[in-house]
Amino acid sequence: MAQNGCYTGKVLRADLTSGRIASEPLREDWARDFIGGKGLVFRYLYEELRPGTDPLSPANVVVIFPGLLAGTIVATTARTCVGTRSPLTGTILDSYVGGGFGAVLRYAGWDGIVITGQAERPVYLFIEDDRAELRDASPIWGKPIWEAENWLEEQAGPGRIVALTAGPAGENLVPFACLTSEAYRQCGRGGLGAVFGSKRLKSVVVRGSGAVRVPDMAAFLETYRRLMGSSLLTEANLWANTEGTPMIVDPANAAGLFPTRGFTQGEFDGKDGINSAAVQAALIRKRACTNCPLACGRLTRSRRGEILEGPEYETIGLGGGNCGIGNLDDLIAYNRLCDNLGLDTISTGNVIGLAMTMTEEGIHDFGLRYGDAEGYLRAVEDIAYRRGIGEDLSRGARYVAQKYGGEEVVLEIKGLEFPAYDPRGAFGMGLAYATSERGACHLRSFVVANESLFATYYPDSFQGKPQMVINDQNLNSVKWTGIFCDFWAINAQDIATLFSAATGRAFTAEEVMRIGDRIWNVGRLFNLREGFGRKDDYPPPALFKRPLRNGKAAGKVYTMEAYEAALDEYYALRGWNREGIPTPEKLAALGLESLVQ
Amino acid sequence: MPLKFRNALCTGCHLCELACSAHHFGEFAPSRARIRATVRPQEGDCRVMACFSCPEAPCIAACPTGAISRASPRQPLSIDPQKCDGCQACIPACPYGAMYFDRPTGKAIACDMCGGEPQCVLYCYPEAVVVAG
Repeated sequence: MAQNGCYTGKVLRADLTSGRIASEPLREDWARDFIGGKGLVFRYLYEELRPGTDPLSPANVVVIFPGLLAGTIVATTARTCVGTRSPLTGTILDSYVGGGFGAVLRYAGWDGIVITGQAERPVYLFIEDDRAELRDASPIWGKPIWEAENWLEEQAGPGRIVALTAGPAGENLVPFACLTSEAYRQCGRGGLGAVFGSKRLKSVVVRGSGAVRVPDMAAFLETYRRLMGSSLLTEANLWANTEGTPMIVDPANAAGLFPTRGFTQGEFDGKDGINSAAVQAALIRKRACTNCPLACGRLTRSRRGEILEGPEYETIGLGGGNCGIGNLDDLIAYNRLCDNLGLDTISTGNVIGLAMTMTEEGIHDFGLRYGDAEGYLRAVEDIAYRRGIGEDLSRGARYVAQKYGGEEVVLEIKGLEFPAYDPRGAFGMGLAYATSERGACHLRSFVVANESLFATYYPDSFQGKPQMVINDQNLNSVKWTGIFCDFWAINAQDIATLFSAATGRAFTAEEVMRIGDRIWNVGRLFNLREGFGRKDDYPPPALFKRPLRNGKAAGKVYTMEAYEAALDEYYALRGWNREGIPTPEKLAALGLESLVQ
Repeated sequence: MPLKFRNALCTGCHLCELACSAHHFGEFAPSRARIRATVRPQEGDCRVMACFSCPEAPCIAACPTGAISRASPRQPLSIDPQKCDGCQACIPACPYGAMYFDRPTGKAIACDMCGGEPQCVLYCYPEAVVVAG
């Protein structure tokens, strides 16, 4: 594909086994139907991966695509989608990182990267404009991420580079190891760090000196400036600038869905030590992703003098409340350890919280108690290095629960641990988690916002939720092709307007939503091919049997009858049969017939 | 009046670079910007720099072809592309690192205040880049 709109038309393919690196044209038909980011990652993964591929084998593939608008002036769109078959869940995985990686990859002249195989010795992929090569990473193999990033910068010499780097946790194949970029930004969920580790790939480093072009710059800027006023710099999004995600802590507690003490409570008595006011008190400055005016990042300093960009709401929930930690200094230390060793703060906080609950309730003694800051910080390192209790905990919450009899306590779906919104306080969120292709995830549908967090809509019922969840999932699927950030509440019409300005092709809001639906169905087809189905679309037993002990949602549990009815309704509205398989008519309507032939 | 930088407010978003390159070259290219942000993510250090028309302007004397001039000490520089032969002598001469070499055209570039309405200021939400006044 030749350069077209703001595409570069080129994809970089690196095979680590043979060391062969090649440029190939972007699939024009896929770019038309799947746009960028999540869409292209899913389409490439569906094509590249044979069913049954072991996620930690050389046969697994890593696919990296920024969004359509990466490198342009449009806010939030420097984000990057990285995909693979997850070693934690076995599902398709799309994981996102902010910062500037996506923009710089575009300036280097690439729409995406496909990485296959396994290197014999530790390597990193270095890309500088149209040149790319595999370089020796043995000096930084085993090193924590910040040290590795500094070394990579020294090797590259003056001028900006951006990187996606795995830490010791990834090298040690911890299935919830993340990738880090620019010190504090992560492809957090699902274990991409472990896939890098299995490939002996320490990092992907990019420097780009080129340009991103649009068909008509004057018209593009005029359109964008209009949307900046009407859609971006508005009350719906500016919370991200004024407070950032810690803003959610107080409303989540008020709604009774803040993860507390291993998800046994919905309101944390120690929340004032880790809420937005506490984070603002430690603030040094606001930090932004590349090309984003919202600057939701908070650079903070703990009373122990440790610096961090964060903590973000999810980390506050899982590393804070869920472990009974109400001290910001401890939480900053936890966040730094996870970032530097390369662990997902959400999964790590879940696993430690689970071990605490199982210890407290006499199910199995891990020697960890709620609020034990010292033990909790030690556990993070034990997990990354797979030693002591970390040997078990590093395998994820599902494994720990199954091995030691915690099945009724654990909170995970498809093997992915829960985000920081307890679905007993927002029933639709349970359906959102359960129908998410990558397991329990809050970024497919954030229905909790309208259910109980910032508005109230039958929080303890599934009424109307299937349609709300589907609308969100479809909109977000196309939103993640832009890639717009979750924190820009952009609608389908405005997405269509920007896509049109960037490509010169006329998009409509309806078409944009159909693209989202198409992407969602590709994810479903991938998972069905791997043996997932209706049986995997259920919340864990705890939501049916163990009510929260305090807070607004105390005492509430799901009934199987109500959940099954909601799932039936969800499948029917999606055009899927009762087993959750897309009907031939549905696939034909989305132009996906060829995927199942 | 020239630009003024309030680095404590800079969030490291690099939008100033895109506003600049889009205005001058019609494309989004930080490498072609006349204003540059430098970010050290680990420390969270962010700063921004462009020519602010310093009193000494050693770039003018350093230019062997007389391509760089300005109407008065507080006015933006003017670089005559006909005279600039791309020797880059002005670049190390600038004590602020605010003179840049534009590879595609082979010429020196520096902030020209966009002829009076600096685009970087328009896109700098934290107001780290402002017009001195």
